[in-house]
Amino acid sequence: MSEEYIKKHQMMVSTENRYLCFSLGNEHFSIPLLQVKEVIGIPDFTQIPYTPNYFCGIMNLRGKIISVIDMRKKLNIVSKGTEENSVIVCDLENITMGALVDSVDNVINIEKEKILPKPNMQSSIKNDYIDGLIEFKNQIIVLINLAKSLSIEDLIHIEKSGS
Amino acid sequence: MDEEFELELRMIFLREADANLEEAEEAYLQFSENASNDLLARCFRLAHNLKGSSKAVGYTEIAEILHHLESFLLRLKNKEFAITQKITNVLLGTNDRLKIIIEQLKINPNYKTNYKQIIDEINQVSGETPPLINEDQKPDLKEGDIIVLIDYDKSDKVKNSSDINKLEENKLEENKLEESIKQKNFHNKKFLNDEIIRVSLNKIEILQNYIGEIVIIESMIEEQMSLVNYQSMKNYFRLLIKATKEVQEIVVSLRLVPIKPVFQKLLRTGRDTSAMLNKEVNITFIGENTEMDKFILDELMDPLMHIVRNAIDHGIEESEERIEKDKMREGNITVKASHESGNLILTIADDGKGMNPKLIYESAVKKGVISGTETLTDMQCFELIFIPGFSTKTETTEISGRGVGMDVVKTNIEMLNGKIDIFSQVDMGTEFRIKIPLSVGIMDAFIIEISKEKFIIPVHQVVECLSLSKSNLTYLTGIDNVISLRNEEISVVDLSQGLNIQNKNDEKLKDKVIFIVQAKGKKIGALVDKIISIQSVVTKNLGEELRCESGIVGSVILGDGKVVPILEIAELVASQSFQKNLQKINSRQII
Repeated sequence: MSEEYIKKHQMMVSTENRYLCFSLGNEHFSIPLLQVKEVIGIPDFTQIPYTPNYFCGIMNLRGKIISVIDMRKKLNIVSKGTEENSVIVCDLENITMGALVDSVDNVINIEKEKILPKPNMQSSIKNDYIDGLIEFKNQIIVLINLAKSLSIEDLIHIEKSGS
Repeated sequence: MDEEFELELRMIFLREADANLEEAEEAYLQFSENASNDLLARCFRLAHNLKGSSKAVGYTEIAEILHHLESFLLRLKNKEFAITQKITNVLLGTNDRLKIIIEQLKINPNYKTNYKQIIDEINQVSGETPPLINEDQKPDLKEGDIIVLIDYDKSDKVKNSSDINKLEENKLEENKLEESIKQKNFHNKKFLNDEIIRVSLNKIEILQNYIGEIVIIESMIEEQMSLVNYQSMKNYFRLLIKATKEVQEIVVSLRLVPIKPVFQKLLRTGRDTSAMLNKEVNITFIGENTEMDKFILDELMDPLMHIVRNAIDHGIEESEERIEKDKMREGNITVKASHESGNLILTIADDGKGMNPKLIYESAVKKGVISGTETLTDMQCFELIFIPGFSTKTETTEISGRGVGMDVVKTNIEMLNGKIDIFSQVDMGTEFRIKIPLSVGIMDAFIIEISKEKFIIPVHQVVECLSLSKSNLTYLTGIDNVISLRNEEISVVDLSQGLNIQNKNDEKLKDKVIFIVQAKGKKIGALVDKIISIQSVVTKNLGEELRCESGIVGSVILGDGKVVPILEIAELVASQSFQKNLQKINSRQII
């Protein structure tokens, strides 16, 4: 076995370079696989009063209460349907949260070096929740920073401005 | 005292001793030349606690050993000796021997031990000199101490090995003895050997969570089941549900224990202490069925024993003195346990001589605990007794020890996020009030429905409930809905309006209920659609991300796996969002 092969193999196995891809409408996103705890079907939500409309509610994951956020509403993307909807349960900085997405697609291997930096956009729209872009099989996949896009500060902020 | 009670007490003691000795061993193993004060203090407390409880159940010999061990550890703590390998060895050896004794006691309650030998050994290593003289030597150079120790080291090595031989001989004899008693004590053995294992709460929690999961899966299967027509499968499924329910109940009950065994132990401690001091004391217990988490119960045992012992020793006066003061001849101590708005409340009240804040203050200054320049309120003076090393009695007594007691009390209670308050009046008595949050969050709560959505309202929030149809609700334009209840006008808000979850199809009027709650000094009524049930629920915290919500303080997982938010009505009604929704609806109505 050549050294190069082993190296390549190690890279393939290492979870650090793996990303979970999901779709919101017709757009593709991915997050580091290490953040993902599990992917589940649509559970029963309990709505909480006074939460923003993208807040689906809270759910019971084996005795743990988890907040779930609808990524499509949060990012203002038109959903493509409910058929394949899933919730990605992820660990973000000590908080476990669920992200409701249109569909979970696949897991890809990308070396860190191949992640493209996010383009400088000529707009004032906040895009700090984008960590970079991945080109994969002629598709552009957005590497999204879930912690920032689901951000708690954001929630509090909206809560305050709403009241 | 009846035999069964005594046996039960001993059983509890043996279990506790097991845990205590394990912990002590662990602590001794950490001993080194520079053992921290904390570690030494911990060992000292362990010995002190075990001494107390062994005395309480009447194992005076064990108490005797521990008394010497305790004194020795105290001197170590005071840095009278440096810790050497030898000392650690003796401590571990003593610990092992205590373990053997405890094991033997489990098999044979009447087991007698050669305790003198163990005590001798402790005394040997502590220098055999009586404590008083040793204290005089305290100012001696430390080096001197070490030299003395080295001398002992040599001579002891020989002795030690012979000691071990002796011990083994003893053991053999014991075994023989044991054989002969075995038959007789068969019943006892069975009873005492009803093994108890300690399980981490974490494991129980995980178990609890998985059972929740099973319940959810069951409800899923049930749905599928309704689609097929397969009778025997349905029957089996029903059996499964029954079994799960049983398991669920057991798991919940695993964590909850009534305070009764603690009361029993306190009674015993109280009797023994008062007998020893020749005082006549009646102890009354209220609320023996108050349930609490096992963990809380364990941590409370020592503090309560200390407080009761202190109350008898320091609080209650001699009979003659009491008669002079025109009090009942017997002293009275009341221990009361209850639940109060999500907290466990324990009060220990005596009708003794009470505490004099001035005396406490003076004593604290004398002991160097405070400098004497502070001005303290009476309450702050009482607090001084919690400072380590403080003890109001000048000479240490057998019963209330050396001032470790109150310090342990405070640490243990604070560890449980609890609070302890002292109320005392000279010649009227002293009351200790302990408040501990039932952190595991089991509480009684109403499960209610507002516009088809379920919510939880904890019972402790509610002053009373009224049926809407039977109340005299009147609508006053521009103000609020008002009911008059026993000459009190109470404004009523419709929770569905404030929560903005109004449902077009009006609920049946006769189901509607008004909850009267206390909010910042005034009463308010909250209108809900109906009460589904009242039951014990386990509360779960919401994630960090929802902390900002006002009025929604947590959530509960119901039996069917559904998550339901808990409402704190007073906070909810006062919140901006709630008021805004109300205003919106009211303005619409006016138009």
